[in-house]
Amino acid sequence: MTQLVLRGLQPQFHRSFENFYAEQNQAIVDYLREEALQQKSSVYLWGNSGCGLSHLLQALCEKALRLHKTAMYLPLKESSDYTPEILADVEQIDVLCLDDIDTVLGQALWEEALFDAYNRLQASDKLWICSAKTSVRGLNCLLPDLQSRLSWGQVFHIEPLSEAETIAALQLHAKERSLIVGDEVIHFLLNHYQRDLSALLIFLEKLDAVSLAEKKRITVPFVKEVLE
Amino acid sequence: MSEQLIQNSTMLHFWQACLSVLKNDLSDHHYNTWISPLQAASYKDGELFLYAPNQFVATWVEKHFKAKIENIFSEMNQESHFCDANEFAVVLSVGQKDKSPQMTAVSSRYPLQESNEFTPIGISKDIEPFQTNLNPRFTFETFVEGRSNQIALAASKQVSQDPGGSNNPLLIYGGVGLGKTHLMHAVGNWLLCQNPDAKVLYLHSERFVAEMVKALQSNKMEDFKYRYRQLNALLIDDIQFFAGKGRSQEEFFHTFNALLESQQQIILTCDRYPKEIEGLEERLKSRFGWGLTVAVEPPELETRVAILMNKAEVSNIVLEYDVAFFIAKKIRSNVRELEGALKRVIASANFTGKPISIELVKESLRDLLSLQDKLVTIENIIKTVSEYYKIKVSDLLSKRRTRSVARPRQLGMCLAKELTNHSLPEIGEAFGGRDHTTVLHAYRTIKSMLETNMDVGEDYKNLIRVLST
Repeated sequence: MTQLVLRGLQPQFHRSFENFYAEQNQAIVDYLREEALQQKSSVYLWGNSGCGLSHLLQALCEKALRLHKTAMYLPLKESSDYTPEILADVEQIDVLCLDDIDTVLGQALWEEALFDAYNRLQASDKLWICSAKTSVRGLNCLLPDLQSRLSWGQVFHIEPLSEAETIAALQLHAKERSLIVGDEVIHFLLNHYQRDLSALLIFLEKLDAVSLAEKKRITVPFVKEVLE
Repeated sequence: MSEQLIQNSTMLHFWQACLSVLKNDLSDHHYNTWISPLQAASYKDGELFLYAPNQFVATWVEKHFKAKIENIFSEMNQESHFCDANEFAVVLSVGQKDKSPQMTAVSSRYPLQESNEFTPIGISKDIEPFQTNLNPRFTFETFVEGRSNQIALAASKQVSQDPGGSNNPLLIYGGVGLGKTHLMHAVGNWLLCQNPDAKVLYLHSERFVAEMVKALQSNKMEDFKYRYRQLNALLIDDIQFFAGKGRSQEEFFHTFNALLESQQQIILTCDRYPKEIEGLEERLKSRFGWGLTVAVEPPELETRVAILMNKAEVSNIVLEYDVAFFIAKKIRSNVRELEGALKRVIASANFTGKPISIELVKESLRDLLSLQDKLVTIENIIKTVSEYYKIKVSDLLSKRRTRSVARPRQLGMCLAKELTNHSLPEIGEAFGGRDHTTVLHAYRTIKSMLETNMDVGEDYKNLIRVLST
């Protein structure tokens, strides 16, 4: 019989600034953590897939909530789940985090709603932060007005972690949780699982939970089993 | 302390505890999308009242998370007995808790009425409080004057001195990020400063359309008409968005007439000369031209430098002239991008502790500058000019000398000389193997035509904008 893992015994992995491995992006992370909520200048983050953009946006939500502000994280890659109406009266929220904004550009209704939301947030002194895979100039906007507004505030390029840095981050995270994960397991994960650090950390949590439930050590065959 | 206040304070405590449980149970993504925007409003007799920012979020939470929140509260109450209720109900409403003038920040003169009255979803508030939507930062004092915008600035100042006078409506047109909205707000702020009771309303044309649609849907067109026709000044941004929206144009036409007849000021902005907007009714185009129509041009180098120096001063940053000159030379598309670039440089200086120098600018704007260099190539100019004039690249590079091809070709060669560092023979070679004297002739012809031919001047500016954006 599978042993149940009790809720509360397994600490959940929540994205925050504290568990973001910044490396060469440290100054940007410091800005987001210490200044973004005060400065309220719109922020545009861009970088390759897996460099931690979603993590940073959600970390900002977490920080805002800790300061008793309201925040909303909107992953626009999943825009099929919503309509642009989700942006109605959005200036009532203190922090609006729009992930993968480039995925809805080119759709007139979304662009108009985003443009309107941007103007209203700015006029209400609320924070707009968004992420995309390309720089502002690389966006394919139908509305030049929207594109120019995105270049108005702070624009930061997030550098991806190197493989060595990713390995170090995973090992550090495992160590913090008193998990014994060999180098061969980490290399296996890097070759067979997503290379996005957040996804890897979440998977590590899952490995931890399953290994505890099944009382097994985390080895490559065990990881294969969990992956299957 | 009243019983209600005790209940509310207890409720807030338990709402925080409920959030912790939800955070652990839900993915970060779901939690941050649907739970983080909620605000606990009050608690009474087993009912927890929550605010959502809009109807979409309220409906979603109602459908997907309401039962879960109710269960969590019931479980917590079983453990802590914080109230007598056996069952809990979550009631969702659209709104914001403790909305105060400081929080809205958009109007210091017409603060929203403070109200904690809770309206469950499905029930709307009848009277919306008046908001000017003016940005207090956009004033004449913070506007940097240059050759490219001095006429628009003068016209705006004139309108602010004599609202509803002969320059009604004032229409400011020009490309994105050149200061049209700033001027519009500056007039609005000035009018409010002169008369704090004046009803000045700024809004984007999209918002006008959205509000009209909402009024139509809720059968409140009379309220809508009243709201707009009682104004002392109506400022509508980007009227090109009215194109193709017949019903909105009609309503705007009537609002426009009513305000004009009662000598209230109208200020409009547009990204092009209004007569060029396709899908806009002729009667509107004609009325827009009744007052004063002025253009804002992309800022020339000196103004760009002045803008940077001004913004740096406002931010209490020491910016050397040569550094401002370097940035201004590189970023020529619009003021917004220029300001964005300066913000990045300042942030970079703060991060690294280095003084602001050309080296630091190159480092912090690396992507922007490399993209700029990459974008403006002769090949890109040829492609852009062909697309702009809707002619084939092969025709542009051919020996044909008909006017429809020759003029775009000359413009292309002129742009290549202006925007790239290629030599004249290289440009001639790229434009179908032409002699360098042909390039020089093209350059001189276009330069002289810029002064005399409005169409060529407009095309040239548009192409520069496309190539450097």
